[in-house]
Amino acid sequence: MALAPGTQDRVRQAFAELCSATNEQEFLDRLFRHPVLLRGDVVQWLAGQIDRSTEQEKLSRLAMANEIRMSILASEYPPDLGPVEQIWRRVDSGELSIEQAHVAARQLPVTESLMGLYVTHLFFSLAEGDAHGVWRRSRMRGDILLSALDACAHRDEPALRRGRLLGTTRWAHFLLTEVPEVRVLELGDAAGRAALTDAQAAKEADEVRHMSYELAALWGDPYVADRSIEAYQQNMMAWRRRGAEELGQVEGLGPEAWAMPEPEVALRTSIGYWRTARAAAPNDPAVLIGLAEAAAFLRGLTGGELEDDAVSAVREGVAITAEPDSDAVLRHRFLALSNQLSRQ
Amino acid sequence: MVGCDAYPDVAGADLRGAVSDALAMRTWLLDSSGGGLAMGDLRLLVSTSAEGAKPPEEIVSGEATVRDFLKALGELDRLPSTQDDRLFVYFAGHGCQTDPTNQALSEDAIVFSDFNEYQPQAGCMGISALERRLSAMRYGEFFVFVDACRDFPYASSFQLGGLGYDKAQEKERAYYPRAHVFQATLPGGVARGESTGSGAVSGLFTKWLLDGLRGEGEAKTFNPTTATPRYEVTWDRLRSWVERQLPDQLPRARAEGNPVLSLFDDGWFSDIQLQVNVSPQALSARRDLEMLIEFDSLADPDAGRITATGPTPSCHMVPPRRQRIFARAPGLPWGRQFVDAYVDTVVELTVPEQPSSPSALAVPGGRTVRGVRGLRKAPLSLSVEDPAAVIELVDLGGRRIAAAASILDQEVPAGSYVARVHVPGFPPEEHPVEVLGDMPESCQLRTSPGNHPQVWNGSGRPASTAASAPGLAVCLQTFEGRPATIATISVQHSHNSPSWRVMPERARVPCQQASGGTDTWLSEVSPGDTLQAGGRTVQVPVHPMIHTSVAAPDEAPIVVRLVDRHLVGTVSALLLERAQGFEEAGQPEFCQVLLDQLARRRVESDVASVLRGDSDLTALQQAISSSLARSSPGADMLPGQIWRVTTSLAND
Repeated sequence: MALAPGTQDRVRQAFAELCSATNEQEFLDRLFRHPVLLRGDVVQWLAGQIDRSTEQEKLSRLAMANEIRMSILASEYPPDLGPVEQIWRRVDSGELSIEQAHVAARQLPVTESLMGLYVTHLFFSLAEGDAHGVWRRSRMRGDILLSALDACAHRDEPALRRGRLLGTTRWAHFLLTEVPEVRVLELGDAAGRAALTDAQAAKEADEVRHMSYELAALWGDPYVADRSIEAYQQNMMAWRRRGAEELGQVEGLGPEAWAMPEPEVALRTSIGYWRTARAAAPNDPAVLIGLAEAAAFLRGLTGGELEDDAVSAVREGVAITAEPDSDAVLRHRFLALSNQLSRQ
Repeated sequence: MVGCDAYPDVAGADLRGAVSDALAMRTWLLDSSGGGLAMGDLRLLVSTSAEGAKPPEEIVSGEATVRDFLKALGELDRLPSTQDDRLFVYFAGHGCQTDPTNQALSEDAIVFSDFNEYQPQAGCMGISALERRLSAMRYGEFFVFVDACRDFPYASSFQLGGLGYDKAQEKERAYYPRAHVFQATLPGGVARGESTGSGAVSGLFTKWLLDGLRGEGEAKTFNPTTATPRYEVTWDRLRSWVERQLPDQLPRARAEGNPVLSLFDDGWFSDIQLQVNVSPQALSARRDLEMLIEFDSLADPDAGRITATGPTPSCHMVPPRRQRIFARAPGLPWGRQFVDAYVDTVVELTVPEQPSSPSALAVPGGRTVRGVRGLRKAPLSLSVEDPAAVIELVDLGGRRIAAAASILDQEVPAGSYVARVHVPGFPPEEHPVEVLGDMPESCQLRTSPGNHPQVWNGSGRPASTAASAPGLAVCLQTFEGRPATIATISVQHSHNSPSWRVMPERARVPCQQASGGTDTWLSEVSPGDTLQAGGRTVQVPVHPMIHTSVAAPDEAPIVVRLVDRHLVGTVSALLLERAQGFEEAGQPEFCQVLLDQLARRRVESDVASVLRGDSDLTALQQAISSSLARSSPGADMLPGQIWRVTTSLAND
């Protein structure tokens, strides 16, 4: 798809700013302020605009930008510089209402900057830290980001799609650990399942394992993270009460907004995704412990025997983590589960 | 998509740009930022010539023949489709007329590669027959674009043969497709091309059509009223755009509605330059001149307000859309100008030199939310000199707020609007309207002579139709000493067109208004009389006490209008004729506006009663009603007529 005339104007201006940077930090700041310059098709278009015989300096600046584009990871992406973060800040400062922010996010000067790396970084930045203090802000910011992504629905870019799907699943997981909200669970689940389907269609075992892991965590963690069987009912009541307070009292939504699935249903769904992950990565101790702990928690709630594949997961996990250089915390978790099993 | 460069059975008829034009259209249709069509939903038919483009075989579905075209239509008909789906038909190649000697009675046809002079109807397809076939399909809308000359080197009259079998009509349908047809030129005209440098010739109609669909210049409009503000290319804008680019080629369009054809995000287009010139000169040079430019910037209201000081001219880069420009010298009232700017624009703004009321000193404008500045309402009065023009007020999203004949008075919320002046047969003229909410707004809309039929001379009486306008032969003359109950007919035709006469021959009286290369005469007629011209017999509705006017312009279809005899020569006649024109143009809502105006004027009209669909019709009204084309459709009827006008080859 050809670049829009307005995009071309903004890219020219952004690249001119980049070329006039006087030091490396300034260069990086300007580059990440205009993530559109990190799009492959934009780099290619700019290369075609440069006269190679007379504009060597521009060419080398473009090469630097391209090198960063090719090598940077989402986790290394510098925070707070891009156009989406700018909208978030303006909402925080009261310059824009939330409604205006959603409109602003859908405009081409913002959406043209969205690509896989940047979107993944944005979602991950919303899922950092303690959800307790930032839940409402993270939720509002994520919704604005989703508005921007909705406006790019026609773009057929696998990296952008993956960034959205993975990011939405991770962000939803983060929000749900703090406040139960059906809409967020549905958003995260739909995104995660779409990404899993993509991975299965592409027969990419690593990605199948990754997305199954994310989905298993999405369904399981809000019900089990930092909870014990002994105080489970109090913990669950406190969690549901947060839904009633934040969604009911503050936003005026009805109880259906926080009427999450029962724990047994959620945990069985989670265990299903752990099994998919195990099938894709049979010896991954992180998957084995996830499956085993979720199964053990479910058994704690419902009683009865631990299922065979959970038992085998514990045994295999103990064996895999027995090596001295393996993860000590994981080893301890496997041994604790193994002890529980041996007492039965 | 049909691109027909090859005409093997007609010497010298091969083209070299039709296939490449079809390919260009195909590219737009498949582009995700254009038509967004899936490959499987498109059929490309081409017949290539030695000099034209040769597309790869894998994208071609067949030859540009009638047979393959009908086969492709059948395939597309079998695809699951609903009211939300659109069907595009694009044809580039030759076009012809079925009666080259008498264009007013001729039908348009597109000419396929399998055309031959011995059986011309076999390789041709009438546009109206095509429309009928498309109307029987289940798409919600269809669009026919024809980039074809209508000067095919074949000069004999012939009858079209239809489209094979008639598709069975469903008895009851929830909807009927809305038709939109855009042809590169008028009958007999030449659709020109330009050399692409590689020996091929690209059709200018297709070039400007595609540029328009891509949102070039004034083909687009900014719609701030949707959840996501966006640019839109609507049918009317596209039509006006192409017509402006090809003033000599005279493209022709007709449509049922004004659908959006292309959408673009805000920010898609480059900013434009807005130059503000202030007068009088004594003020324009002042450095303390204050200027304010406002435009809709819904995401960031602060970005939509530019302040500047003199002197002028003063240039600013702004996004293409409605601009509200204000200027004043300190202590004096604001001057203001509103403009829909989609290309670099110069605004001439006159600033008041004399103090006015204190309220006029207040800073104008204000932040906008979705194109409406608030809930305050203010009276708006719009008028146009032409008493039978329809003024339509729409918001920036194209939604109709009100419509009225000649004068529109309406209380509206403060905000941005567009006033459109409609006259049947002409594209609407658009005027930016702003209601600031602090005072009543009133505006006399001026229509530009080049873009508007001069049927109203401002003297309080209808003037005769100019020869170039496909208007009406309004004849003021009556037969002295004859009873008013007789039927009359006036015929206006060009001196260049074949001689027209009433059969059997009767005495006729020339009308005094005849001028400018046209000949208008008035004749008594009886039911059953026919008109003859250029080897054709034409029957038009004739009723006692009703005047039938027939206009046979050189380069347009025949126009037949019925007016009650006692109204001839009055403004009411003009209202009645225009109402028929709107009905014929597929704008029944404007027809109704004019009929309502007649009712308000307490005009007694049998024709109006029929058009309104009144119940309890008199015998005369029932007779007139039976003359409506929709009352008794027949194969010999001329297409596109409100009245039943039939034609056949003359016996003599």
